[in-house]
Amino acid sequence: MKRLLPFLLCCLISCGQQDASITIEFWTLQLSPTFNDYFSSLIAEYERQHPGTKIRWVDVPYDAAIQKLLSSAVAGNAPDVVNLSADFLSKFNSMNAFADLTGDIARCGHTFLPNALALCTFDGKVVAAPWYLNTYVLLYNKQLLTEAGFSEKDLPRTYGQLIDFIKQYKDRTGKFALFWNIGKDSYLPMMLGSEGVAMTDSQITKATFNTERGIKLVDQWVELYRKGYLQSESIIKPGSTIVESYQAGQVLMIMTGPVFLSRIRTNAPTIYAHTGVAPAIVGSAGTHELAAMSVSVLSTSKHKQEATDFTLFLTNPRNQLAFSKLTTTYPSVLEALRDTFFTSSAANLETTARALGAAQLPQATRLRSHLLHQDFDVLRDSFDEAIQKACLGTLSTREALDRAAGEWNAILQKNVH
Amino acid sequence: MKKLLPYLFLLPACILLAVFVLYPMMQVLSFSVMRYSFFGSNKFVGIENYARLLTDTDFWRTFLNSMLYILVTPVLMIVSLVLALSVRQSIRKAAALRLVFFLPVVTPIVVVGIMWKWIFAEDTGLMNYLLSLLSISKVSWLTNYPTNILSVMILTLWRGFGYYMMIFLAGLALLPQEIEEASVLDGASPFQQVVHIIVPHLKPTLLFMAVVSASSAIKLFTEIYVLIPGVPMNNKTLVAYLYRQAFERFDFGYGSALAVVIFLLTFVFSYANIRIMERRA
Repeated sequence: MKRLLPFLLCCLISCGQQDASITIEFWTLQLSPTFNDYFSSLIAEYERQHPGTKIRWVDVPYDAAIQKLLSSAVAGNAPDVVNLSADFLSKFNSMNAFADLTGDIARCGHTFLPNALALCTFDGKVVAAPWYLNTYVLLYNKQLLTEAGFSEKDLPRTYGQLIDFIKQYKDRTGKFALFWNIGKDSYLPMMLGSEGVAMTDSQITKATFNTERGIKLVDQWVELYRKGYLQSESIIKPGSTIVESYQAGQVLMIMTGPVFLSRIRTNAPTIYAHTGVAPAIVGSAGTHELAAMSVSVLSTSKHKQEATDFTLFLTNPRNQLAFSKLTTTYPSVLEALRDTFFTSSAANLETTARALGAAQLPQATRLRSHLLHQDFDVLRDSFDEAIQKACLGTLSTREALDRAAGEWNAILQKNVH
Repeated sequence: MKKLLPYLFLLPACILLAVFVLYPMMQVLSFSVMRYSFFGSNKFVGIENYARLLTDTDFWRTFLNSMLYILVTPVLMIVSLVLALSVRQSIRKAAALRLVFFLPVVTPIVVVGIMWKWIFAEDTGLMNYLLSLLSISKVSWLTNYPTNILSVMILTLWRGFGYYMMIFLAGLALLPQEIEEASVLDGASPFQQVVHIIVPHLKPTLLFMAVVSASSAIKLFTEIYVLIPGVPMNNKTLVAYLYRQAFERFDFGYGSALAVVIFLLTFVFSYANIRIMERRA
């Protein structure tokens, strides 16, 4: 018994230590292995500052993230902290998936960009901390531009100029100037928003895109499609194929995030060598679309306080700035965004793109307001199908948009009452 | 013990079936009468999900499209039989042809999808290029309904005939050579041989193929997913609609109701096929 006693004591102590240790599971979207070093040191620092808390980092592929998250929730082993695109927050919020971070965000001591925080706020409740941000720039192939007899000063700056340019380029070369998905995950709502035509009212209770101006603006793009100035598949291909068509040399220009420059550099170095970057196309309202990644604490977490604490550590100015320096993304906190890193002179393509995007961030907002609605996917599909019908000539633009607006109103009103 | 032994051998298969087939089926059945919640408790809604199907226009359109895809079945069977008859000789050329015909079956579907997307690309694809040589104007192979359904059918045929050809070849291998030789001596033409000897002999094979290919047509999804993912839902099939509801919109209850309907449809179709073929036999 005397021999057993120290052994039992050790067992008890080690059990006690295990109980005191908390493990927070943290999921990111497709950031490994590129950012392994960043996360290893960040997690090591956090664990050093918080003895007894362990962070288990799991990186999941972007396309499988939602299904993996839902499967884990069903299986009862959902992560504590999860990185999601802000586009999905409304859907998950309607499932009561998130812990309320309102008070913690307010007390955290750093200032999130209001336009980014707005994407994470539903009915006054903050369900996620904004993380890294992105906005759009215009990437173009300088070689193709010159071959077509254009110079950089001919590049379009507004949507109106863009439409004229697309026509001129095709007429001169017989090739397509731009790939833009207008009928699948359509970017036309972005164009409408930038032109000052909102998709819905501010309360997201009524569709507002089928005004005379909205119809006229959309009709210009429908006409472009019908007359063969846009690729036939631009009504069925999703946005994820934009970069593919550019790096394959099929189109002169694309509107995308600066973050994709590194992908083009890796996949198509020749195209990258001829790539130039210009400010994003804007409409009369001068606004840009804001794309945001966010970090949420799940409502099923057994360690909400610790998970929230880690979330705020991850998104603090120092860590966000360090992350942005490794990528071509932007931090969502003002303290980090003020760093000279984002205004530094143009040393290469990435820094030029970064500076251009950073300058646009104050005017960047959620132009596709319907993405803030829990049934955004139903609304999006309804709009997409309307554009497809208009482009294929099944309906006129007015009929298609009126019909879509009717469907939207039925959905939006259902949730109001 | 001797009596029990066969059942013991069957047990592992039964356990696997129960865990991986029966249990998920029962779960889907139970989800279909619930409003499914991922982060809370499920709510029993009775037949609400099934009633919703009746008034859902997308459901009926995708149902009709699935029925349309069944048209692939007879074409697939005829093409496969013709190919099987043409390559059944044991000459070296036929062996090479067998390999060529079977290649689409073993090619990964994603590769097949990319390849056919290039072929059907409306501005730069091979199909429209060939048509332009014949002065035929551009065809909307991917964007326009029902041409895009035809494109998926072509892909399905191209991918499927090699598999069914092999099954026919297996059936033909069992055909006694003497019967064919006797028919030649009696003056039967090749066509008469096919109609009066080969087809009756292949009846069990035909039955199997009719059931399998018809149920595959009802369950068609991957081909649509890789070739025309971005077209409106009313251009797609029932399983694509199920996928959207369950895995894109996360409405598991409604998705499960759709799954039950697809199961019943496949079951009824297969059963009817078997009965019809048996009666004819």
